[in-house]
Amino acid sequence: MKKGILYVMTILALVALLAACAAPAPAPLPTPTTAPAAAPALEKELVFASVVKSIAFNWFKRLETGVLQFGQDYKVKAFMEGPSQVDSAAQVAIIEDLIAQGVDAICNVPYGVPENEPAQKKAMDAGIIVVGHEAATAKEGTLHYDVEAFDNCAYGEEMLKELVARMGEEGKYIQFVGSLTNASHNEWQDCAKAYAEKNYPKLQWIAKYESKEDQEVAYNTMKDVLRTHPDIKGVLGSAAGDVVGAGRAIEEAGLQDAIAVVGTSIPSYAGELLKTGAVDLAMAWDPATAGYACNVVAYKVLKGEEIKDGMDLGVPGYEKITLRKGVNGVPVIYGSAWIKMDATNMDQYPF
Amino acid sequence: MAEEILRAEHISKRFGGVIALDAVSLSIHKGETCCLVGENGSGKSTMIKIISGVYTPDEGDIYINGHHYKRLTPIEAIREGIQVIYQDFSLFPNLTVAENIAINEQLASGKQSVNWKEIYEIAKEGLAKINVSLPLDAVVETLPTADRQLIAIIKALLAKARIIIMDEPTTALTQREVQALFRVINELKEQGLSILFVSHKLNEVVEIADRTVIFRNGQKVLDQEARGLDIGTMAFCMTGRKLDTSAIVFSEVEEAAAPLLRVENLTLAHGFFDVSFELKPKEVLGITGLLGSGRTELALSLFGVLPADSGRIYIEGNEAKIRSISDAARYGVGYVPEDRVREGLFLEQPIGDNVIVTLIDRLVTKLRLLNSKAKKEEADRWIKQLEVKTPSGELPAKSLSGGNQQRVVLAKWVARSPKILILNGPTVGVDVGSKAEIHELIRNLAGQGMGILLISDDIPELIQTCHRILLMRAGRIVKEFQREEITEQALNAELVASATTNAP
Amino acid sequence: MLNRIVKTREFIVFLILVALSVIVGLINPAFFSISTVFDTLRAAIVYFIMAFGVLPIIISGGIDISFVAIAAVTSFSTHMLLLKLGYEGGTLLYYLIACTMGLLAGLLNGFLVTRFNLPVFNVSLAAFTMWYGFNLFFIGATANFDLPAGTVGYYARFIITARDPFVGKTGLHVSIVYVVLIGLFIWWMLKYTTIGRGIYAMGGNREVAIRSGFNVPFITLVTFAIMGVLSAVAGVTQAFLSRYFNPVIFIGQPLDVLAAIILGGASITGGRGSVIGTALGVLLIQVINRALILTGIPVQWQRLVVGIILIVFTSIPALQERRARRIGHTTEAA
Repeated sequence: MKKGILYVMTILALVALLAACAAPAPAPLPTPTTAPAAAPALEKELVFASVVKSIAFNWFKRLETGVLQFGQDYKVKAFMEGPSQVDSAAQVAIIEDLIAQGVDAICNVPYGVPENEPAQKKAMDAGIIVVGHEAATAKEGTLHYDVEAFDNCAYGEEMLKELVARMGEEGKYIQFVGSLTNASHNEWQDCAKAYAEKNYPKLQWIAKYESKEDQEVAYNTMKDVLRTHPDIKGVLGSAAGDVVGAGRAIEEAGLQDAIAVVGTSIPSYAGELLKTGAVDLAMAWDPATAGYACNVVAYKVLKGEEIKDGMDLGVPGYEKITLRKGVNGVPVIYGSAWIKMDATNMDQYPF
Repeated sequence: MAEEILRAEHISKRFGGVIALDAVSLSIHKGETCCLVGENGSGKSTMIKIISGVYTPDEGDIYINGHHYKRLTPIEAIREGIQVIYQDFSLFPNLTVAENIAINEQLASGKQSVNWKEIYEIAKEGLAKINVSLPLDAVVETLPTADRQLIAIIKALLAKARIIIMDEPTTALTQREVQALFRVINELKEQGLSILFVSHKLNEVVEIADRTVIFRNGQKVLDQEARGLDIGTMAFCMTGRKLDTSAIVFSEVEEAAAPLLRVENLTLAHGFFDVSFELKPKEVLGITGLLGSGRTELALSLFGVLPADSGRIYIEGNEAKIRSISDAARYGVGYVPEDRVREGLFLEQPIGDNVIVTLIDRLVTKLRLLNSKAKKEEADRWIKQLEVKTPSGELPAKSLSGGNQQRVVLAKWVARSPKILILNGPTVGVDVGSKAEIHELIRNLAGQGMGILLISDDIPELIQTCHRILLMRAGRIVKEFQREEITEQALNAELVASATTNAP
Repeated sequence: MLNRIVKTREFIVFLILVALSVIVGLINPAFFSISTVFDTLRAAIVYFIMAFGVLPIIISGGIDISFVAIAAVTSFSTHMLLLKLGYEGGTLLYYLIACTMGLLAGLLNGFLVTRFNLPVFNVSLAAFTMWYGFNLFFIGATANFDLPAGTVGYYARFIITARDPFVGKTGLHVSIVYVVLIGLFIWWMLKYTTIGRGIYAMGGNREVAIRSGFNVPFITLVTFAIMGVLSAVAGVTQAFLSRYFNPVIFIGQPLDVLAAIILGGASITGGRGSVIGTALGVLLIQVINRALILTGIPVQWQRLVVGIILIVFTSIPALQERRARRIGHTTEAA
């Protein structure tokens, strides 16, 4: 029985992870701010491959658009490959295949970071530039660089700044996370809270609630929050449905102008409520720009350009990157590649 | 002689190379209680299964109600009115008495909806058949074993039983419940039903049987009117050797010896009150009484399972504070429980491991690892000493017969060389042959200097082992019998007196 | 009679429910309002339906967690199908299609259990993973907010409405009627049909149930069919109440539903459980959830509180046995 519960937990965790990856979906094509002025004249066309966890996810289809855009902009043969289902072994087989083909660079989004390390190292030994994405925990020497859309902590602080801009520097606010065990959600919210305590001492934190990745739970919770704290002024959300559920409760209470709601979401979820103002700001990130940036880094390394802290990759959100050593030694590049959507600009993000 | 309902003729059954039954005949007549007696492995279970259609005999014929069967199926047996009440009673523990009684009728009717009024009527009718009253709304798992057995009997009756086969029906019953069961059996008999009563408790057989059949090693060794048949003869037939109850040698208890155990004014709420007694080295002290008399609670208190609320315990003259089992073990108190399967044995584990489990702290090496060589030697020594019949100590304990399992439980505690050994119903569910050997063992252990407290309601057992007997009633010691005063009649008289004054 | 009711597990749950409500109401008077009652019932609707659906399986001695995944796959694929067909009608067609799918999904579990003699829990674990995976890979990984015109206002279709000074208009949602009807049906089925009694009999002693002549494989299939259909009802209802279809709906909540059933007096090993107890268990968990928000106790405590109550409850039978042992009625009979 005990073992049974453990199984259930593991499966729940796995599926929740899949769900989290898939939640905030497509975003618009990135418009590069600084594509190379003139396409470099080359003796032979460069080949850049991007490998993802699985091509079955919309998320990675969106990433592919960034990869293809990069290929056009940089006059490089760029393409994306991946297993039809998430599977480290299949992913490694694809990398081995690419090594045999003699590609120039690989941008890898590993499913299992440690399982992909030997293949990545083998590619590097073969003279291929290997850049990772969502692989900040890789071991030193198994990637040239890893590219992340943003630092989770910086993203959380940004959310809080946006909330304060709407609710003012004092008053009560609450937080939602999909679950208390979701590492990213909790890092965003904990950093936001720490930032608030340091910079806005008059903000009063009430609680961090769990929406169980279900907007109906967020809705019911928000109703009770309104009963308990009628003077609530701000709400931060993490899962895409958090701000939607909370926004609906706020709208039904007619408090859309009195309460600021900011959180991770996308217009297809929060569109209606963004229009009415029940949700004030939705924040997200775009896998397309990440795919683009990953390839740009590989291009620069191939060209012998040095990657420096604060440099501009020429991709929206990656204009001023942060370079830090990852926990296991791989150098990690952080962008600030979040996008912010409200009633005025949501039409530019039709997803 | 009354009409013959069932006749099994020259039944033989072999399992592989083992002959379970060898051309055995058995007949049952209308309105009689036939007792089938035999040691474990004598073939009685095989016979039950053959006449209820579970096994097909290799040779022989079965006649029921005049119909001849070469091969009898379970369905045919039921149709002919043969009902077996197994030891698990085949009841639903989570359902009420009424539903358990009526469920077969409900199913047989083929109706898809349930009429509760009808269920209660069927149940009432069933209870009336044997003239007992049970709470119809009670959930069966909350009832004592005796009541569950009555429900099983009623179910058999409602299934139009003509012969009811009871397989060791008294194993889990107290003496008073056995008496109640016997009343029911007699009532059934008067209604013209036949009972096949399978047991190895000879005193019960003497009481209930109209006719006694004894099996030994797959053969019928006796089949006669029960009247005039005494326990000694039956025991001889069962085991093939004479049990001599007169020549028992009891160990000499030294009058002057300091008591091993002295209990003063021991009290446990809802258990027993103001209990005082002494136990000397080499002495076997019996404690008897009916259900609810407090005898088991007293034993459990001395062993630390149910620590007493007040009073004092002295062991070898020093006051002992027994608040837990490990306290008791430290003071040299060992306990052999009644329900050896549930409380005393790890059935799936090897016999050897079961024996040495209480010794584990003495068998570890300096590195706190178990010394497997020492373990095996110790286990083998005790298996030999207590004559556990097994080809190897490596076999699981469940491979042993009841009597041998009980020996393993004994070995487990004796191996620790306790000063005081408490035995609770040491031969419950053990056949006569093994019983005598266990009694011998108890006397030998006492002879070596141990003090033994024997808790039992088996009167012959008390007589064959005890120096003194304390009788408990409603949590108090009401009478003490000295060796010379102990007779079966005297003990029985006192127990019956208890039954009339001791409300449960 | 009264004496017996007082001793039941259901009554204890009822008392805890009342006591907890009083405490919460004393700390936060906002709890004592008709709108809170309506909101609590509304939030509980889908849990009632799922719990009623899985209760027969629990009573029969199985443990299922796949009901949440069946709720997700039936509701989400029904929606994506009707969306593709340009359906603009009402909710009825949704329920019909989803229930048919739910019936098939339930029967698939039941088939695997009865045909290959697999443990119920293993099959349900496989079905749980499979159906969520099916949704994500084949139907779509993103939630969908495009509701057909005929269903848009359904979330606010109330039998009675109430106005609350803090949360605005709320009410008793019409789907509470389904809950009552489903509850009555399951209660009737368990108490007044041979299949229902067979479910209890199986949970009490499977071997004896077979020996007595209950059609155990058929009864197993029925329990799974009920679970499948009611999971579908719960999935569709939840989608309409929250106005969107979510491919991973309820993914984190099977244990909440099982906990409610067990709190309501069902035994995890089978044989015991009732509709009224389950309903009270669902309400108790809902009130505990709300209580923590309304009294300001950190959410992290929620699981701990539910866990502690579960431990206390599951140990009641053991404690009673111990008491009986002390009084001295069971040991000698054993």
